[in-house]
Amino acid sequence: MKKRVLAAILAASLSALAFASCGGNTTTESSSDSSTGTESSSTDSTASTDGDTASDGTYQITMAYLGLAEQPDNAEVMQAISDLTMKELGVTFEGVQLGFGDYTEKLRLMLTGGDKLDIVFTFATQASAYVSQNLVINLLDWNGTNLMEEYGQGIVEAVGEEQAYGGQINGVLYGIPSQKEAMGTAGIVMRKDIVDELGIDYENWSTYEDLYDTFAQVHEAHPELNVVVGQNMVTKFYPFDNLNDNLGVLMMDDPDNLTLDVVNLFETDYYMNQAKTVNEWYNNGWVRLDAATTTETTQGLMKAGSAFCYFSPIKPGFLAQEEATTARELVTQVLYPEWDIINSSAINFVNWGIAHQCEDPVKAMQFLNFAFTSKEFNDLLNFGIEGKHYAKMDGSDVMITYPEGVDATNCGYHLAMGWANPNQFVGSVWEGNPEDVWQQYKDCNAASVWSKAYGFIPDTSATDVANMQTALTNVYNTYYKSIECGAVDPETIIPQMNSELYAAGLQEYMDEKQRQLDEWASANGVS
Amino acid sequence: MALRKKDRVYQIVTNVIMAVWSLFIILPFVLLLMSSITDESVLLTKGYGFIPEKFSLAAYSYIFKSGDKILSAYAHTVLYTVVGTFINVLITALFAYPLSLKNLPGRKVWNFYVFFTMLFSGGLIPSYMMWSTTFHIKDTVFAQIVPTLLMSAMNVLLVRTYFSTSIPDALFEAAQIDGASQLTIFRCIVIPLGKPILVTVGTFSALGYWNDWTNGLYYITKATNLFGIQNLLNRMVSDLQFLSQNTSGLSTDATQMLAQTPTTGVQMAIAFVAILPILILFPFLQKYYSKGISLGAVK
Amino acid sequence: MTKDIAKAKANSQLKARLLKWTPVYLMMVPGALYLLINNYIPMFGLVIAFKQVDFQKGILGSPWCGLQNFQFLFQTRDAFVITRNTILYNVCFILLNTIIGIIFAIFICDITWKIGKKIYQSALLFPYLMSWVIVGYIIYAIFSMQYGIANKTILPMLGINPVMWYNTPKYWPAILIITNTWKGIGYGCLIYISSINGIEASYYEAAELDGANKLQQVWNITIPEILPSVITLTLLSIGRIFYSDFGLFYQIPRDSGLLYSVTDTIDTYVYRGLMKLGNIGMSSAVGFYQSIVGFILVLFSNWVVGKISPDNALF
Repeated sequence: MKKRVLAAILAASLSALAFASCGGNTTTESSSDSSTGTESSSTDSTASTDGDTASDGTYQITMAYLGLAEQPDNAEVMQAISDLTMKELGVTFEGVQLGFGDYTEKLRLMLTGGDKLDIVFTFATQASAYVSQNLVINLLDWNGTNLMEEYGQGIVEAVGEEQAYGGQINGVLYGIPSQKEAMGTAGIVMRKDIVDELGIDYENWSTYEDLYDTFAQVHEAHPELNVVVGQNMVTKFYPFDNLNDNLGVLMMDDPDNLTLDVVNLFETDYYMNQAKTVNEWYNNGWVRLDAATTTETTQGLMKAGSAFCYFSPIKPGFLAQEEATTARELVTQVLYPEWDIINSSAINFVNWGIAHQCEDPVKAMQFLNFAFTSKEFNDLLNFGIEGKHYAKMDGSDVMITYPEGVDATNCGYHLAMGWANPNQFVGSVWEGNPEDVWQQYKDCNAASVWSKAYGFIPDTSATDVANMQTALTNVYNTYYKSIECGAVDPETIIPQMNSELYAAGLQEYMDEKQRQLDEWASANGVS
Repeated sequence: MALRKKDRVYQIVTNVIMAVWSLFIILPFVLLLMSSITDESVLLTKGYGFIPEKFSLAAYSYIFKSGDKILSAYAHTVLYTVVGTFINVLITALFAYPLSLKNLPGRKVWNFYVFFTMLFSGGLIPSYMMWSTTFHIKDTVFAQIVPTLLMSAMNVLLVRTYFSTSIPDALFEAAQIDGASQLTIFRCIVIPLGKPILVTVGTFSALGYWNDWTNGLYYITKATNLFGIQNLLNRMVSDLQFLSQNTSGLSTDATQMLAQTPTTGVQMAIAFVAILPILILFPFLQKYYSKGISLGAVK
Repeated sequence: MTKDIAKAKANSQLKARLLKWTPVYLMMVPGALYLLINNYIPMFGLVIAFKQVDFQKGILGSPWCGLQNFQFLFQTRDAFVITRNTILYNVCFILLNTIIGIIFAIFICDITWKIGKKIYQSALLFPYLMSWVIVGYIIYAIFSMQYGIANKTILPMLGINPVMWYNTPKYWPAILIITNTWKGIGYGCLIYISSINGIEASYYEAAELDGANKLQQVWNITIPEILPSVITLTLLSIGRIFYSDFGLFYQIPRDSGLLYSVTDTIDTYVYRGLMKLGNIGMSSAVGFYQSIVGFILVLFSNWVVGKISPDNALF
């Protein structure tokens, strides 16, 4: 008996082996070709995928981009993009999709390990390291050529001068921000059934204080619910420019009177007041006890029915999408409408630039210019091939949806990463959004209060600054999560955190930021 | 032969201790299994429990919705594990045997050569540069088998120690006098006598391959069909972690995507699915462990 | 004339030696080659720790910067805490894993009930199959402050008030140590089992005839016979005493800031501090520092072992 079982397992693993090795072999061949780039493959019908320069001398643009799930029809879409770039720019295209969880590690390896790579995205928080280690090219000065000036004017036209030149550190333009809503406004999102049940009147709310009675009422009526869920509740609504890391900020609570004075956020009345409010919620049992350590998402908790409300940035078309995700009817109310703020990191979230190992930055810049202006390119990358992965909706030129017989479960390509792709604003609009959503986004962004320091990103790469930042980050990490969800008493913890921050060199760090900011301001004529 | 009373007491005590420890180990697995078949909303509203309040196979049906991907990942993991472990044990034994010979010229130097690699490492970037630009293993099967896992210095030293203590020198001398070649000695004496330790390091190597996701992460970029089961699992988990830690900076599209990605129950289910084959196979491997080979027979 | 003879003799001796050892050296080739490629060649990367890396110039072409990259590790006030935590936890782990590992190995080898033996042995290895992320979930299932089994079921049964586990540092050394033992015990234990299985049965038979009891047999036969394995394993752990298992210290406490005083180790500190910075010079410096300390400690321990029993020294 035992022997038979063993034999069966052996047979199974053998067949698995055969299966696996077949699959393995085919990809081995094609992929080793594309990675070495020197041997050109005769069997491959598409000579274009054969490395940096194919036999006919065409340059290949390799672009790393973000994506969540694996796309079954990826190869087909990449080929379509390649055909498009061939036609428009005379270069071929190869995309490398990276996941959220592993892009940091993987992108760093690709950049430092010298892989073939031309176009990269940089998260603003890491930009300083990228620039100081020369991992990306300065678009304003590549061996004396101002790439942006000469080949990137389409970008300036498409996104405006402000944004096109906004991603600079110490005069190095490391990339152009992907186009998305900047999300200055935020609000509370509540379950409609409970709002109706308790007859909650929310239309006049505008601050945290206004929520107190309702939260108490909900807690009493539904003790099984977490009244409010989510992380970062203290600074969810923020009247300040965080200057990249919250350690030394510019307060903006008075929009008519913006300053360039770097202050310690954790000593402001704003921070203490909000922290006290949230702490009170926590002590009343309205906040999930594990809020600081949970990895569950607010939407997931809403869907599961364990929460009454949460806070979220609000943008055009928000409610409909959120209702779909949580499978519940929701109502929403904007809070602190006057704190609709845009700072450098709101715009510069994902920036598109050129990798240091790029062999032909001129071609790469031409490609970037194309990527920010081409509707076809952005639609292909985001939604795949028309007719197969998406189709135009009746009577509209911009609205698109799944073709007939295709839906989310069987669509072969649906990246849906518009906010991280170069320029979704030139592309089509997915069903469910308002038709003029891009214009609405742009209007929203324009109507926000822009920080005086917009365009400034501190350079923290010098050794002593980096050392301070490491030490400060550790102190900050020690406390912020528990303060942000109200788990600790702010009256004792915030002063303690402040004294530790100062001991770790906060004053010096803020002085350095101030110095860089002043320098930047006088160079850019900001006062 | 009846056991003496003292022996019987000893047997009972040891069995009880080990049984309690085993329970201590197995209970969390039960919790894992139970959470994976508990309805997601119960998990989120009431927490985890040993008895599912509301039974649901949604997590598993989610996994097997992308069924062929999972199966192919399994098949790949099995391939990497089998091939990798075989080579691993072979070169480990081949390397460890000479090191165990007390009169090998340069023995200390060689031991140091092995040991030094356990202390210092050049880091990921140089390894990556070498493997990807010199050896071109990126996006090939070799990427999943060769880097880091093919031989462990630790195993070499353990096997060496075992060989040098558990195999009597007299045996080698006798064999050499009989005119046996080194290869014969290795094949006919070292391997059979070293079986307990070789099976042990083989197990570690196999588990290393089975659990590994880093090679796939670093060296598989385009050929994602070469992903093993852990790569799939890890990708899902790390996507989720990144998103949930960075919600404040993301646009709402991204948070929406986050809400649609597999949550707790599915992660538990995936973890279970990933280890299930080993749980099934392990008892069959057991018999190789327990038997020490009687030296008398060889003598 | 005699010189020639001597020379010829020496030659033939050399030939004999070569003949004798060549096959043995050949056996070592694959392993030695693998270590050379996989471990030694990438070691050029150690220079990164002393460089101000600029990728446009390449790693080797970047300017040297002395010990600048090491500074951040020492000038922080946390240096003491993270070093203390790393070392103390490692010492605990080494002691516990060795002692419990040996005891369990002896038990399992002595147990005569075959089915039980199989179960126990498999059970020891099971936790090895789980990633720290999953173990983290299990721990969270137990200690979650709102929904955890501890606060929801166990403590009420004992009439104790719920405990704010993830906010209270004092429980975590115990939780971390138990978790690590739970997960890691199988490794050493299996090695000891194989060592014990390799001991000649006749030793025990002789001792039995001499009337030695169980404890005496363990003390006089088992322990000395498995000592080389114990020493090898321990020396290896000492070499890594400045390293910490990142998964254990990061995933299990769920990166809860309030617990840092007892959960932060060199590796977690560096991860958090440098994640944002992304400076590879600084992260390489940490690795170099951890290695060099481990190296010195091992050289010293090995020297001590060599003084006491030369046979058991690693090199």
